[in-house]
Amino acid sequence: MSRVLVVEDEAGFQSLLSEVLGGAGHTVDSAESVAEALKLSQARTYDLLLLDYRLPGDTGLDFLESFRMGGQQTPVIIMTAYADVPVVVDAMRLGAVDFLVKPFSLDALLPLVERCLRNAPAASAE
Amino acid sequence: MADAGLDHLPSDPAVLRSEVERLREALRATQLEKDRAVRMLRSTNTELYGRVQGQTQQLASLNHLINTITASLDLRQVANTALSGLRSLLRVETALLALRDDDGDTTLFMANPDNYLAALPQRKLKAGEGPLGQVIKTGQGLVVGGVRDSAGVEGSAGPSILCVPIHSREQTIGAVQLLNKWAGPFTDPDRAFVETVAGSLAVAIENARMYTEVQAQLAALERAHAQLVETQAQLVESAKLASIGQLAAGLAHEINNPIGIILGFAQLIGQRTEDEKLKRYAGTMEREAIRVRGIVSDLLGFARQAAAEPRRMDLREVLEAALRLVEYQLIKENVQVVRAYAAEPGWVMADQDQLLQVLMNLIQNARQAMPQGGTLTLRTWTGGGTAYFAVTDTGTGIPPEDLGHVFDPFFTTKPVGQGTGLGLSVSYGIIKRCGGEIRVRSEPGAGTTFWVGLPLTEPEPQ
Repeated sequence: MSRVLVVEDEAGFQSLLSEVLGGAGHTVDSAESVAEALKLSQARTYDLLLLDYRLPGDTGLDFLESFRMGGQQTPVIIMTAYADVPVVVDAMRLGAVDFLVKPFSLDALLPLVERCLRNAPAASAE
Repeated sequence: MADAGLDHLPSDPAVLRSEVERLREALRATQLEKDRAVRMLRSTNTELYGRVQGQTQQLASLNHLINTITASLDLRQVANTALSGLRSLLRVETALLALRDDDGDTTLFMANPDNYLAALPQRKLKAGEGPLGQVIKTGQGLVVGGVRDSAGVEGSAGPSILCVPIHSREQTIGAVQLLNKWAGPFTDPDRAFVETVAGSLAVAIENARMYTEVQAQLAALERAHAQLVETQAQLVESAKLASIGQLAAGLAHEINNPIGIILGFAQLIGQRTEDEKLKRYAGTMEREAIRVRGIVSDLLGFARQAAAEPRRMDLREVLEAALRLVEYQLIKENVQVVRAYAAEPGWVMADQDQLLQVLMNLIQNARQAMPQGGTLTLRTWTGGGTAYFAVTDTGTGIPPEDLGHVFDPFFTTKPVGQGTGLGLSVSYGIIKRCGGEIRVRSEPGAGTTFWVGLPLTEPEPQ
């Protein structure tokens, strides 16, 4: 069982992802802003982060930068409603392992999450 | 006889008779002399009248000629009118006109002896050539006095020539030459006549030249204006496209979030309910949500096309740029990368972001097809005016029944793990808009190859 942090300000998406990932046996924490996400991620180590690109006031990339500068190696999947190459490219440069373009199918989400978790260094090892 | 008064009448009848006879004779002579004087007077009168009539007619002709010359703004028409008029009014064999342009070249115009309305024969005149060349050089008129008899045979003095310069703004811009007057030598009135015509020719030529210049400037202005209108239309069009693009991008974000939520929950309901009706309803919601996703994706594709900035690039460099982003992850996922690039560059005109998007999509698909690891091969080659690249994986492959649908934007039965990227239909649209093609070949259990062909473009100028 893994612990996943979902950083997403859209309540609908937040509850959908909690439901789906919870249903798959993961523990899901939720953050609605960059500040909240930083606070949660400093308090404990997660196995995986699902990060929305557009957040109130900031972007997911702002969080990702601070997160990586803090030395965190947790795999991050960036979610964007823009099928924008520059966003994806920037996210990958900042250490995102993969991306999801909204709207995505659950058939795409779960295998991607499983694969990222499988390839990630175990949270307990850090 | 004057002093023969009646007081001195001779008494002798014979003498008287002879005296009367003498007087009669004198009277007859006087009468004859008077008649001759009257005849002479009449003849002089007639001649004078004729001369006045002739001069009046010539003046009218001159006036008409000058009016005709100055009425035209076409240089060739001016030359033709002047030469034809001079030739017929002064009754000469040939009339010629030489004009010097701003470059110093002198052009010779000749009255067409057969048809005054036909195009003028013309050629370049060498500096100082002939009487015309001489007159243009010196700026002084020239008369050579040859006389022709009425039979048109040249007299002993040779040809008769009258040549007059054309002055404009204190410069000699040309000369008029008349050759071989039919009757008699050239006279001072002839010369005055031709000089008058030359004066009006100067004005007409100057006008014609200015008109031509203005016409040329006008044409240039019209061309510039047309270009401006076209550029403006293009600007308006691209501004329109850009604003539509901005609108589409904003709209896509606003719509994609709720559609993603609807799609996800519809799928969740479909998975979790045992109620067949509810499953069907959920399936319909899912399909319709995917349809909206397709519409938004088309809209985004259009917006991207509006913002596209095609430039020349080497396919090998774009492949490398894409690999740099994912290679670390690929290694971690036990995927070996093989670069099979052609030695020669594959130059294409494309928007780098868009091409990168296609590549990221193909590479992500390949990754997902090899969950246990494998080999990812990137190849480039050229042929038949096309630059190709191919992305090959050693993954699960695509079932034959699905192969024909992979580029379909509404294709919903994708196998698990496929289709997370930016969408094959988006890639298909991008490649099509670049005038290229994208194909897929797959063998279940052995792997999949996507290959893309784009029009080969000229190499980068060195």
